[in-house]
Amino acid sequence: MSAPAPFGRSPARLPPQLEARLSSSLEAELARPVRPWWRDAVAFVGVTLALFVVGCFLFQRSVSPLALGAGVWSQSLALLAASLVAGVAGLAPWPQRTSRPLVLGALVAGTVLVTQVVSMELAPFTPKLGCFVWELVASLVPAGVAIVAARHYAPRLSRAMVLGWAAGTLSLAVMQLKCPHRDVGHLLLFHVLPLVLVVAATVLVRRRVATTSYAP
Amino acid sequence: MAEDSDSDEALMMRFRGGDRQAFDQLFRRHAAPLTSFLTRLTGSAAAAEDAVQLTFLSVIRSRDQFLSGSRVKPWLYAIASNAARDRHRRTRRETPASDDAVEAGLDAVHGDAGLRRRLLEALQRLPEPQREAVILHRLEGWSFAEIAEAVGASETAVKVRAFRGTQVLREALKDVWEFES
Repeated sequence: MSAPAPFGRSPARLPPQLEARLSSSLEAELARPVRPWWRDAVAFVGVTLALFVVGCFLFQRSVSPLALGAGVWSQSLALLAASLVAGVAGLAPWPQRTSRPLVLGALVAGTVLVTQVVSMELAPFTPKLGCFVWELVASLVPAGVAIVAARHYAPRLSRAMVLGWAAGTLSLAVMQLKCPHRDVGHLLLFHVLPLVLVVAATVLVRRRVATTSYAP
Repeated sequence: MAEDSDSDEALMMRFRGGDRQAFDQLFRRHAAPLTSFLTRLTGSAAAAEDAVQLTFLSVIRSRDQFLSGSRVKPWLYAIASNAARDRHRRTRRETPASDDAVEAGLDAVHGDAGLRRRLLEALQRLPEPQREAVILHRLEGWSFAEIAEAVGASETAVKVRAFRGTQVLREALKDVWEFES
C-alpha cells in the first residue's frame, strides 16, 4: 500500500557524511572472525554434563548410588535431559515457533517430574537449609554460562527465564541424588523455591549485562 | 561480486560465506530506510544513529545466526527494534526531537516542518508496539504479515496495534491532517 502524506517513504541513501561515519565504525568488526552460535550451546551442555558428573561423584560419599532407588535416578536423569533441551533451545537462533515446542516440552516434563517427586511422600516437614544453599551454588556456573551466552542475543524475558530454568533444573537434578527427603514441604521450600530464585536472578542479571548482538 | 539486482537473502548468504562486498551492498541498501525508521521510532536522530550502528554491528556479529530460508528485511528490522528498545531502556530518557532529527529521518515527508514535528511528537506518545506497527505499516508500507514476522507477534495482534495507533494519531493530528482509512 502507498504511504499517505504526511507519511512519506524513506530516503534511498543516507547523507554521505553519516554513511561514511557508520561504515568506518563497522570496519573493525568486519575484520573479526565470526563466532558460531553453537559454541555457546556446546559450552552450556558441557558445563551442565560436567556439573552433573561432579555432583554424582561428590554426593556418592554421603548417599550410596545403590541406596538410591531406580526412580530417583531416572527422575534425576530426566531432569538433566529437560535442562539440556531447554538450555540448547534457549541458545539456538531458531525462530520462536521452532524453539517453543522444545522449551514447552522441557518445562512440562520438568514440572511433571517435580510434581511426581512431591507426590511421593506426605511425610513430616524436614527443614534442611543445606539443600537450599547447595542447590543455589550448583546453579551458579550454568546460570553464569547461560547469561554470558545470552548476551549474543537481544535481551528477551522468555529467553532469560528459560535459561534460568535450565540452570536451576540442573541443580535440582543433582540434588535429587543427594537429598533423601521426599516430603512435600521440604521439596517445595528447599528445592523448588531455589529453582524459582535462580530463574528470577537470571532474568535480573541478564537485564543488567551489556548485549553484544541484538539478533532476535 | 555483489550485484545491485541480488536479493537481500542472496547477499546475506554471500556475506555469511565471507563476501565483504555483499555486506557493503546490504548496508547501502538498508542504512537509510533503517535510519528513517529508527528516527521515527525513537524520536531522536542521535538515538537512531546509535541504533543503526548497533543494528549493523549485530548483523556482522550474528551473521551465523541468520538461517537459510529466512528473509533479511524482517530480521534486520527486528534487530533494529531490539537495539532501539534496549538503548531506550538503558538511557531511560527520551531525547526531544530536534529539527535535525526531523530532517534526517523524515526528509521525504511532504508538508511543512510543523506538521512533521507534530507527527513525530504524536508517534512518541504511542506505546512502543503500536508505534512500531504504525511506522512499519503506514510509513514504510509493510504488509501485516511482514510486520508480524519482524516483531514476532501474530498478524492479528499487529493489525490491532496498527489500528489503535492510527486512531490515536488520527485524533492527535485531526486539525492538520485527514488520515486515509
